[in-house]
Amino acid sequence: MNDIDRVEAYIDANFDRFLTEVQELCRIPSIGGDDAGMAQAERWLVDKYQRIGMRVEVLNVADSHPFVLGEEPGPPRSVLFWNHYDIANFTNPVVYPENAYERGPFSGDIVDGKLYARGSTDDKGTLLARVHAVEAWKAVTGRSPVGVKFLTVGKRTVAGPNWAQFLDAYHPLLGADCCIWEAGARDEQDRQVITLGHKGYLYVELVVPGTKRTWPSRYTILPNPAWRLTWLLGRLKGPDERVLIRDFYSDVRPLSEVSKTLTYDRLADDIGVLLEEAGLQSAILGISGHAAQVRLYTEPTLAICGLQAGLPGERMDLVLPPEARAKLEFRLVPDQDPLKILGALQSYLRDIGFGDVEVRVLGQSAPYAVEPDTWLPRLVMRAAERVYPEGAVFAPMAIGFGDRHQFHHWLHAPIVGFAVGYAGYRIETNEEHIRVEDYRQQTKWVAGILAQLARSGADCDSG
Amino acid sequence: VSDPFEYVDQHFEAYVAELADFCRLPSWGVNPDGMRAAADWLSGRLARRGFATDCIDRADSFPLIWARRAGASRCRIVCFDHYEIADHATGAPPPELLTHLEPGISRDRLSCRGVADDKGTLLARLHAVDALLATRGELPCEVAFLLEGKRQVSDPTLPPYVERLVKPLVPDLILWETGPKDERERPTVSLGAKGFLYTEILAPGAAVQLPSRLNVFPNPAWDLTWALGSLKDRDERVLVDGFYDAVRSFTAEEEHLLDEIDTSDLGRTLEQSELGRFVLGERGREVVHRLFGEPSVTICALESGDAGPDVRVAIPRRARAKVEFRLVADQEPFDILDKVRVHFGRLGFEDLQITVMGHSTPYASPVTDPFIQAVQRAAVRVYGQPMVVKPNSTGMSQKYLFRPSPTAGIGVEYWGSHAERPDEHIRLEDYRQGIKQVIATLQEAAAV
Repeated sequence: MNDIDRVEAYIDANFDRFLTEVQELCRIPSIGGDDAGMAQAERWLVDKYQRIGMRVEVLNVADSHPFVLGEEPGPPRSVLFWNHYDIANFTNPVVYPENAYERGPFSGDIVDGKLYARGSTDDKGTLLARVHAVEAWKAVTGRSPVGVKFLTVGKRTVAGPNWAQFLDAYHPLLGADCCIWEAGARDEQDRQVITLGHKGYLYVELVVPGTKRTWPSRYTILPNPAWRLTWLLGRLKGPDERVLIRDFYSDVRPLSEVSKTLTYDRLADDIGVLLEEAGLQSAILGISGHAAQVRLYTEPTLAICGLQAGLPGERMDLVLPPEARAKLEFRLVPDQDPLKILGALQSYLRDIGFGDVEVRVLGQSAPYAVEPDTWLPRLVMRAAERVYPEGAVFAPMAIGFGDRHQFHHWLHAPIVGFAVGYAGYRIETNEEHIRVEDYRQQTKWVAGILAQLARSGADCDSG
Repeated sequence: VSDPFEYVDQHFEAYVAELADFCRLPSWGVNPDGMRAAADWLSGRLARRGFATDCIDRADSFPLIWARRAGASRCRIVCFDHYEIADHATGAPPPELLTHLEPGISRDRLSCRGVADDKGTLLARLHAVDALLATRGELPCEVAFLLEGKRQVSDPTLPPYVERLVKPLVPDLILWETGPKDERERPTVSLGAKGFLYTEILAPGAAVQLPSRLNVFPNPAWDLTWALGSLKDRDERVLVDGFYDAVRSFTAEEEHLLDEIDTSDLGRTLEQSELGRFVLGERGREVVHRLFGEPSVTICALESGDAGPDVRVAIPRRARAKVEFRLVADQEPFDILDKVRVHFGRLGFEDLQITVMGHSTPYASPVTDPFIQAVQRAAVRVYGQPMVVKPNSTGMSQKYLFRPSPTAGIGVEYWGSHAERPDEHIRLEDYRQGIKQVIATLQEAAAV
């Protein structure tokens, strides 16, 4: 029996205990912004990392909960695992059910092979599969085959802390030959996905000024900021979904033939399921299936996330709104640069007669993608073939945004991502769950990746 | 005394005292007792002047007073006024005024909430009748009072009463409330009212909250934005097919009247708006024309998704706009609604849900109407000059219910009366002239 077989056997033998630990962490209500819940999860992690013999450092980060850094030294090379211990409370805020028989957000219950909790897949399960893989190696061989660093982030807001500032201060602690991020669930055909990057975004609020106080609407002669906002938005994007800002698309990385074969041609079609869940007839522009899926990954887009003008509610208010606002999200693909897009937006607004509109930046991050035919994606794929008989697939990127770009910029290491999840995981609801067998496979996969990293030669050092 | 004008001068103090009595009644919409007291008071005063008076209780509103007295000619005039104190702009009255109002009378003015809108104008009409009866023993024409006690700006309970009580009379002229002296101290009369169609336009979205990363899914905020953008372009022209079809453009004579309208308040509006410009950079005459003569569409409110200060990465569940179409004669609100629906349907926005929240039909009386001319002749007698004619007014009213009778909005207030403000007042000299204007109008109308 070679090492990896013994490690896998150890994982099987200790699997119930591993699951109990996942339940423990999942039952902690670590909602970003809630200091008590976050501190409890932080202590749990510190304790866990210490118990498996890792060196632990708690990093105090401005505008954020403390980050927990666990470190296991080990030549010949090292990997940085990026995870978070808050439960991603950013789209669908946590709701506690009114009835006792309904599932709460932090139940941690295992029913029919599924472990339920907000945060179970994103990101506690994904994190602990990695921790348990390292634990298994240490238990079996006394050491991890490569150096390992766990950066466990506690976000307060979706944007997180000022990453540039954080990395400027801490990048010497985080150095590694590669980095494993946390996005990439199993797809609609139940194939494990490896994400090669993620999108970026630029989130702005536009404020169109109007009269200083509210005027009766009979003053049809006064400029109305709600109209100006409407016209402005119509000039940013029309019903053909094409963003009209000059140079918006110029930095979009062309799709390579290799990338097309290795990624897009293998994408599953899960748009249908999502549409059904949402009670919608069709995707935009009437597209469906593979076309919608490809568009989801490749097209940078512009979404209105909020509109506000005048008085809300059911009253018939005969007034002109004194101001109009829109919250806009540009979702960017490699190699668009959010700050460049911001500049293009501002000069476009000036050009079309809306130079007086205030543009407030509420958040931004750059997109990132590693090409599929480079060493880290190949290595991770190779390890997957051992664990997943049906194989894994590359997704060109996660459709969410993240901070890989910043880490890549500071650490000069390639980054790929995957997670314990599948198409039916109901993320960010009280029904969010992981399948325990997925957890077992992923723990073994990570163990295999560590072995591959130890074995791999010069190609991984070539960057 | 046989001259009614002279009679007014001799009894003016008593008239002012009676007006003060009326003002003292706290007839706020939120004080049913005050409303009832005012209705009873008015009924009594009308009956005492020989009017067949009906005080009609209404289920969803306050009593409607209908009072008629025959006259010496076949001419029939209806005075339309309201006895509730307007609080549409300011909301509920200050608590100390809710049950007790004390008018202040100084040398030249009477101050009290409600006196400018509309108690002064109402009583001036009663006092005109009083002076005519006292001096001539009869009225020159048949006069009817339709006195409203409204709960809201446009009273939905009024139409059937107008149909049943007023229409059969086929009145020659409706004396409407409101018509202030302008800043150049000239009396004004308004002949029309804009109408409106107030809608909520809702773009529905997904049944569940979707994260914005799923950006191939439809976004109702975009649908709403594009749909609204299709209604009106930056040149302020409404793009709905047929929107302008029924617009009765001002005649050359009406256009000419616009030149006479005092625009000093527009200068102040510009200043107070702190924008420094009207739409399209228009000035002077263009602004007046747009204000009185142009129908328009206005977004009164937009609401979609998240309004907070943070990044929220979600596709809005729905998007709503409150959209007001402000109409001019002879546009019909429900015809406009049909046209908007057709417009959205043609552009592929058929999923939008349109709910009507309010509506009122526009109306404009022709300036050439002989009874409007009678009002003008009366003004020359009282003020020494004809009234400045506003062929339309910018607000809405229920004038259209009285179609085809011409409506003349005249009153006893002036540009500085500050209706609905704490210092609401009228000037006593305006009150005296206002009474005489009604007397002269009845006389001139009888002679048409």
